[in-house]
Formats: sequence, structure tokens, C-alpha cells
Amino acid sequence: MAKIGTSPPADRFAGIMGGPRFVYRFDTQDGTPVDGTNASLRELSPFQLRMVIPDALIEASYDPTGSGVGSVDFITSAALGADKSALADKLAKADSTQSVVATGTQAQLEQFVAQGREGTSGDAAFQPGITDALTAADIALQFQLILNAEPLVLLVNPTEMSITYTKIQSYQSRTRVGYVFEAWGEDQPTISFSGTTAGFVAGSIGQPPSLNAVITETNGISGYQAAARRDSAAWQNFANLYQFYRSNGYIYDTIGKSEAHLFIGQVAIDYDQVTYVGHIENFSFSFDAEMPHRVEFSMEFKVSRMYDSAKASTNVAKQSSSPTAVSSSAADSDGVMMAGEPTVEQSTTPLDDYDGSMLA
Amino acid sequence: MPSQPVFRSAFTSWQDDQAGLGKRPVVLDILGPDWDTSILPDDLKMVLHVNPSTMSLQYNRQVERIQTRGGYVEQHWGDSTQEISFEQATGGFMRLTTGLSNITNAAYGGTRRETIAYDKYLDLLALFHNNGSVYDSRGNIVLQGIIKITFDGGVYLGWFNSFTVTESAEKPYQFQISSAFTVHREVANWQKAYDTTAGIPSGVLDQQFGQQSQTPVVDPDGGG
Repeated sequence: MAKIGTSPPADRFAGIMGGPRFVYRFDTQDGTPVDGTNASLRELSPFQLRMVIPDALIEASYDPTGSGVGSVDFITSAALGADKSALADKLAKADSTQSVVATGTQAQLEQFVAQGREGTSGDAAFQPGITDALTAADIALQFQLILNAEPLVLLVNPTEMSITYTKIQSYQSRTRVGYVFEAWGEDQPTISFSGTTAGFVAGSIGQPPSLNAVITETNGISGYQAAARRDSAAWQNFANLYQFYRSNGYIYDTIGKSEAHLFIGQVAIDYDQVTYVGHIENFSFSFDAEMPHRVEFSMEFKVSRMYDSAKASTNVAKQSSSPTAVSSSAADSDGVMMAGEPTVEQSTTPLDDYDGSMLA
Repeated sequence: MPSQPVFRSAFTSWQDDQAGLGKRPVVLDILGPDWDTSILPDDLKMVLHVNPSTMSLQYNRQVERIQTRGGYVEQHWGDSTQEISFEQATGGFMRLTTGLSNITNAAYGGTRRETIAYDKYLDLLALFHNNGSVYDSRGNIVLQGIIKITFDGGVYLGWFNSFTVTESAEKPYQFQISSAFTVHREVANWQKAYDTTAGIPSGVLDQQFGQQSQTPVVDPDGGG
């Protein structure tokens, strides 16, 4: 059942940075997005992505002494701890007296970064545009945005999800007695996704027309059509996914617009009671004339860490060690054991001996 | 009949092929660093929920051919690597009372993870991760065992290289698994129709291959 106006707002990840080569903005649409997908299916098997703040920031904001809440003013502590030179002390002092970095709201931080100068009349020794104070505010702002970003649930689950585990090992070095096996462990798993958006459906605003009404013109784009793409819940949900790819959890240098990322956060995927934490390696989608009302996409995700949050199942019994282990009821795998069927005790050749003699 | 309904795997035990049930499971075992002793409990080896659908063995010779003015020179270096490729399905994620399940949200009480097929898939994945390696506390490999795969008389010792799990909308309620296995050593247990130490009984080959057959089909010295 299509739902009008109930999909999450398209700009709920507004402010999340996408790197120096990507800019986005939001226009106000005339109509309203329509979610034509089956929400109950999504509830039963949600496919969710989250942003994960960089490990370094977690450590910086960690407060082992319990003296108070961890601060995002980590640049100060990093400068103090790493370098005792006069310059570092000055920068540290600048940060510590710059209250907007340590305790500023998101709006204050945005203003601070946008203005490119200190917004308060602090110590007279500081000149406007101190780079590290700005950088600290830049980091703090993005930190807050990522921290406050809500999870993204895809309207339509990927059509295919393929996890590849690969060993790092070699069986190529030859010796006079054959190959030598060398093992170094395991590569990071790679997950390949391919999927599709839902259909592009948008609705016009205002009261629904009566059955007898003849509508010649709507207030905005409506209906199930390619033109409704940007107005549709399907595309807006997909654009959110694209934002996740662009961000990838990175803390970008939005002031210098450089590719020197300030910190590297991560993206987490929650599915099937497993959390995959890592990075989206690539992302592709195509507009196709043969399917104008939706878009197919694919992406690859490199896993750094995996967490299995499933509880141990009590519904699955352990593997029995012999065919007769469940024979109190004389049942085989079909539930019924035919009379006269031999059991393993009747076998004259145990498999262990059978193999062992050949291996010796 | 069982007192309560249960789903069972295709195989009851790794010894099914000895039980006259007409079943031949692919059996997986982990041998320790001596490449001889199983590190699994004595009476327990791993069998899958369902056997692989495809098990492809690839053998290669390592021969280098060099063209000279006098023709080709061939250098024979023996066997190249031997690989086994497996293609398999987990089997359906079937739960009692609800049937096939693709539910992944634990908030709904029961998920597809509580099925034999999923459980067996996780077992196989764990075996791949292990691969016979013995790790130290920091995750470095300190000793290397070997995986032993047994199927219908064939024994293959080696290691898994890769393991790919695919969930596809075109094949719901199950995973497709493909894996590659490098064979270090192969042991073939074949059948023979007569006692090689006593020679070939007269008439056996004639019965099997017709009156014209004069040549034994196996090495009478017991090459197997």
C-alpha cells in the first residue's frame, strides 16, 4: 500500500560531507514523496546502514578518569600530549579558550566554520583565521553530524548480496619435494551488493480529488513516472544511500578542500543480526531507457570488522555422531527408518581405518 | 516415529555411507599440525545439510615448452596445483510451524538463523576461517594443520582459498556458496573386483568385457 508523506525526509542527512568534489543542495518540491513499497517486509528483514565515527575520535573523547563527559575538544589534548613546543602550546591555548569548539552547538560550529574566523573576542594575541582552531571546529562539526545521523533503512533490500572471504596464502613455491604451503591469514571480506530502487512515485499536494473531478493540471509532478524521480521516496532513499557512499564516515577537510582527510570513520551495515563495519569501496548506478521508473545500482563494501549479535539457537540440535544416536525411535533423516536398515555398528569397515590405512 | 516433529539434515552422520542408507556425504575434518591427527572429537566430523551440487576437480601439469632453433624443448616439472571448486546451496531455511523463513529481524521472535540450514552454513564458514590454522593470541598463524575432505572413497587434504556466500532474490530462502580448495595430497580408495594377489580368475574379464578382452583393466601388482 503506497504511503504518501510518511517516508523519512530527504534531507535528514543534510550537512553530511561528501568530499571536496561533491556538493549537494535541496530544493523544495511541490508535491510529496510516495512510498510504494511494502513496509511490513522491511520490518521483517531490514537492511540498515549507519555511520560510525572514527576510532581516533572515540578514543579522544573517552574519559578514563571519570572526571566528566568526554569532550570533542580532542585537538587540544592531542596538541598538548604530542608536542610541548611553544607553537603547540599556543595552538592548544587557542583551542582551549575557543569555547565554540569545545561546547558549541551545531549552528555555532557551522557559523564558525563558514565565517572562517573566530567569532568571539578572545585573547588579543589571536588573529582571525587561525587554521587549527578552524580545523578543530570543522572536525567537531562533522563529528556531531555523524554522531547524530540516524540509521538508513533501504526501502527495498538489495536483490543480491555476496560475501567473499579470501585466504592470504600461497601454494606456489616449489621445492624438490613439492610445493610449500605458506599461510598469512585472511584478507578483509568483500561484500558485493546489487539492487534496485523502488519505483519513482510522487504525489501532488492538497486534497485528493473526487472521482468525478477532471484534473488538467497538478501542483507538481505526480504519479509513477520517470519525471517523478527526484520527488519520489524511492529516489530520495537512494540518494541517502549515495550520501553514505560519498561520506563513507570520513571527516573531510572542508576548509582547505583538500583530499587530506582529517579522520577516517566508517560505515556499518546491519543485516541478518550481523554488523559489518567497513567502507563502501565503489558505487555505481545507471539510468536505463528500458526501466525509466527505477534505477539499479551496485556497490562493494570492504569489511574491517564483523559482529554477530545473534543469540545461540536452541531450535537446532547438535549434529549427532552416528546414525544410531537418534535411533531410540529408529528414525533416519526422513523421520522413519525402514526395517532391516543396517546401522553403523553393523558396518565392518569403520571409516577411520579405511582412511588411515591409505594415509599411512 | 519421533515424539515431536523435527527437521533433519540430509545426512544423519559422517558415517552415513557406511550405514547402507544409500547416502554418501561430503565429510570435512580438520587435521592438526602433524597433518594426521584430527582435532575434532573422535566420533564427530562435519557433514553438510545437503551435499554440494557441484564438486569440480582440476588437475594440471607444469610443463614449460621452449622453442629453439632445433625444435621445442619440454621441461616437465611434475604436477601443478590441484584445485577443487565447490558449488552448493545451504538448503532451505525451514522453521517448524512457520515453514520457509527469510525473517532476519530478531524482534519478531524467530529468524531464519534458527534453522538447520543456516546453522550448518555457519559451521562451514567457521571451518573455512579455521582452515587448519593454529593462531596465537594476536591472531597470527603459528602452526598450520590441514583440512581433510572425504567423499565416496576419495580423500583430499588441503586448504580452502576462498569462500563466497551469495543471497539472491532469485533464489530466496537459501544461500548459494562457492568455494575453492587447493589439494595438497589426494588419496583414492577404489574398488576392485578380484583378488590381485591370487591373479585374475579365469573368465572374470571375459564375463565383464566379452570374449575378446585379454588385458586386465587394473595393474595386477596392486597399484591402487
